[in-house]
Amino acid sequence: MPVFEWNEIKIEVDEDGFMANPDEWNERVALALASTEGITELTADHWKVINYLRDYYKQYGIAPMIRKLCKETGFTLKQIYDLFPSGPAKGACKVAGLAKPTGCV
Amino acid sequence: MAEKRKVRISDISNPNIYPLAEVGPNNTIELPPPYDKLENLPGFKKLSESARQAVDDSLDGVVAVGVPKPKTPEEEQELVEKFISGLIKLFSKENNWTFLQPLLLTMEHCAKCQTCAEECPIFEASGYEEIYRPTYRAEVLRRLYFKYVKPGSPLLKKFQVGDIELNWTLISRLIELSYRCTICRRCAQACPIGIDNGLITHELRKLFSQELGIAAKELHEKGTVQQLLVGSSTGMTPEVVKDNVSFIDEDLSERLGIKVESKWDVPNADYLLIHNAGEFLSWPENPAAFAILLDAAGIKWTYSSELVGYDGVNYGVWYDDFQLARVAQKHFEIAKKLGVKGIIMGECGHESKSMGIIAERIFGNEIKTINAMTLVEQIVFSGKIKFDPERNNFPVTLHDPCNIVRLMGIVEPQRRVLRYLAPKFREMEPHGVENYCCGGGSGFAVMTPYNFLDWRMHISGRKKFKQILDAFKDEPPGPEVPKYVCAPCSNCKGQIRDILDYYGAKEKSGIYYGGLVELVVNAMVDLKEPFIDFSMM
Amino acid sequence: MEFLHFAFYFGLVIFLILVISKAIKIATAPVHLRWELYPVAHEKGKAHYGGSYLEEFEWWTKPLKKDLLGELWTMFQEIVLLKGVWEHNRSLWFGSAPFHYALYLYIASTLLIFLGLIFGVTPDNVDFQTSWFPQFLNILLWLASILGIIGAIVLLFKRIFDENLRLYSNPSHYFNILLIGMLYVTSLVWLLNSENAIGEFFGFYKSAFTFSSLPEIPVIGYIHLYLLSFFLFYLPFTHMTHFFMKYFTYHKVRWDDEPNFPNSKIRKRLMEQLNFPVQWSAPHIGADGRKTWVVIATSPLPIKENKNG
Repeated sequence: MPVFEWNEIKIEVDEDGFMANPDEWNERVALALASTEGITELTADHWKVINYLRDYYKQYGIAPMIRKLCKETGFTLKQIYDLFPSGPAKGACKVAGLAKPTGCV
Repeated sequence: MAEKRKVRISDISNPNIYPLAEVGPNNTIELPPPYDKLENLPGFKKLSESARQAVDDSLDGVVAVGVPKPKTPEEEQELVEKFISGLIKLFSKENNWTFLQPLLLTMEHCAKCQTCAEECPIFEASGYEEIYRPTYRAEVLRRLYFKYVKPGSPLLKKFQVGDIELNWTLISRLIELSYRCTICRRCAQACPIGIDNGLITHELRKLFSQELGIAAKELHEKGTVQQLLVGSSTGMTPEVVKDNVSFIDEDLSERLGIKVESKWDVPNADYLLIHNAGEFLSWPENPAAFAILLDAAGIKWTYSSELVGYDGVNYGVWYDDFQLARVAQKHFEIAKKLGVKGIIMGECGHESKSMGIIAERIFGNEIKTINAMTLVEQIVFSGKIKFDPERNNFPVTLHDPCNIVRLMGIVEPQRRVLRYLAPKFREMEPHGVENYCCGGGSGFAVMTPYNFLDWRMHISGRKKFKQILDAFKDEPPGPEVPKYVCAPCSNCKGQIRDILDYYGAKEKSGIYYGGLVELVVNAMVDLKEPFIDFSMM
Repeated sequence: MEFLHFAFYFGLVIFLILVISKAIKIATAPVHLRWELYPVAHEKGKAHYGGSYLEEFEWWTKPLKKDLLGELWTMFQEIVLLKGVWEHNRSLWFGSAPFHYALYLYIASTLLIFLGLIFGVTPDNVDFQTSWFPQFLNILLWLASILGIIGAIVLLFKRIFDENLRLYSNPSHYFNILLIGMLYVTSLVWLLNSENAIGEFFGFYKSAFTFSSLPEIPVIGYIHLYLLSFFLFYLPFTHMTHFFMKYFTYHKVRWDDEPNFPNSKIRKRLMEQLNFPVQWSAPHIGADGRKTWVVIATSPLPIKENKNG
């Protein structure tokens, strides 16, 4: 597995940059992963999305439906794209340290 | 202009040719503006150095499976021997009765006339790269079959089909090559003799999975294995899927002003409805539309919350007979336990084929399967529901999922529905059983490792994108008129979504996509609000 | 028995034995999983657009009607018109069609000779100079020879000069075309050289069937008949067995849409097959060489999920 390094952070990621071991996630890691998405600063809005994703992931082991994410955070899909340019699955989930989605999704 | 030397069959075992073929964005299939300039499109993602060290990219610089490189010559030798033992099993009736007869017919009777080559959208889109020619892969297997399995004089066999050197280079390239064909079987359709090169892809994948334990991670580890153990290839447990479905019900009831009510584990229901579980996560309107339609038609239906019972996918159909049978057996067992008359299969091509005809042959016809196309037709023309086709007053074209159309012969029901309910319906060319694959067939739509997405978009999906654009060419080209690609298959939808994103076709041309039931429900007079909301798509 | 007779019978016997045993082998191969490909020619009223009985709501409640005439019509178009090649590979058709037509005509003329021998229309009791029957055979053989030579030349040139074909051709492909081409060259030269070539053909077959001594045949006739004997012997070893295997590729694969009803014939065969022991060695299969196919397919995965997510 490739290792991604950013400042003092050193984490294993898969070939698409998703964390290999989501348990190792912390807020510094989020910042590190955000840098790969062209995000330089994580605002309160970013955190709102990230925290929701993490809470859901902790409870259910997978990422939530996109529609649900929008509803629970109050953001439109477009706003989420503005926050995470590669979108909820490839962008936001990655920064939140979730594994890559699987199945016909 | 100096012509590039074409790749020979025997080159596949030559490690000094690296990569065996070079493939990238090209304009062999020309697209109309604004998609005609290659420089405006993303190229192929470069593999990272660490990826190149870990996995083999020597086929075409693209990685779908990511075959780990053996560390020692002994390990290599062991794999070669395992491959030979798998090859022998592939041709034994005990181990491969499931496909032995068609496999032997294809191995023994190809006239090498290349009639099939022109029919392959991947071969064409690649700029006619030899390795993608439908006969290339088949020819490699044929030579191996003659050399290692078929009895007879080696000299005669060389005279008949030629020789090939078997080494790890060949095997690792052949693994990747078995994931460069969508098994759409247009090539088989064109063969005058009845040879099936798509079958060869299927059988090779089986050999690798069933003997060497090598398969695309998305299909095996995250696919059938996850489905059997967790309940769904999406990773949804029963608890999650129920939570999601109740969210969909609430969300849409609120938006539409009509009650959307899904049912779980209802005893004595008439039908068990099984969707491709990806629908719940990515296209929630689709299962919601089913719920609305079935209720309006007065059909007593239920979902099952048992493991596997709420995910109709069966990726085994593309790479492993045993995984296929295990998943199918769960579906049938659950239906039997619920005591339903049969299973309604959602809009999913490989679900329909694997359950409706393939598993039917393994486990028998006692559990009836109803495919979505005929069911929707039945409901639409039953007179129980009032429709206003004018509500679908936007251009609509239809994509024919290979599994449902070319491989099951379900061609007309969906068309009769569209001719009635979509006044601006137009066909793609060619269509029906001669359709082109979306480019995401045989599991590709769920595979995005390394740079495989680029390959899917530029190579396997390009023909379909051209067909979609051509179908709407008499409409205003910009985004002001929304245009709907009806793709009644989750897998095809995934691929078409990726194509439209990749080429920016929603923004540039206003092209949207969705299933069949959404259009049907959108035309229902009972709905106050439009069901299809382009601003949300 | 003359040596030519021996060669002819040897070729014929090998041909028959191998063709029959190959047909039996493939016909008795296990019932495979469904893998049909539409259009399926026997779908009544639906074959023209590729539809199937699966288009019918609750199809199992309706009678399944097979359109055998539809099958025959499709086979006719395929065999007589070479429709598949015409539609998908037109330039090859101009070689393939004369090549195949020549074979049909040659076989037809040989069968007519057999009929003539059976019904006593032979040079011994009919005047071959004036009767229409030998004249007709003469025309058939002329046509066969000329078409055959044209077909062989076109196919040979295509294989040599079209890189798409050349890259996938083996020595056997050139040899096969040359061999068949030479059959027609020799028959043509025979027809040109001898005023009574048809009579000589008759004479050969008559002597072969009655085990009597050979009549007078020119050298070119000998060459032709030896080539023919060799061709009969050789054909079953080649992919040219598609001439009868095509029956199976169409009827047993492409068009096999047989449902698995209880008490059906295929159900019985499938039950046997489900009990075959399995040897695949990937760990997730869990085979041990004794467990049967169905036991494996209905038992839980023998491996644990390695990691969640």
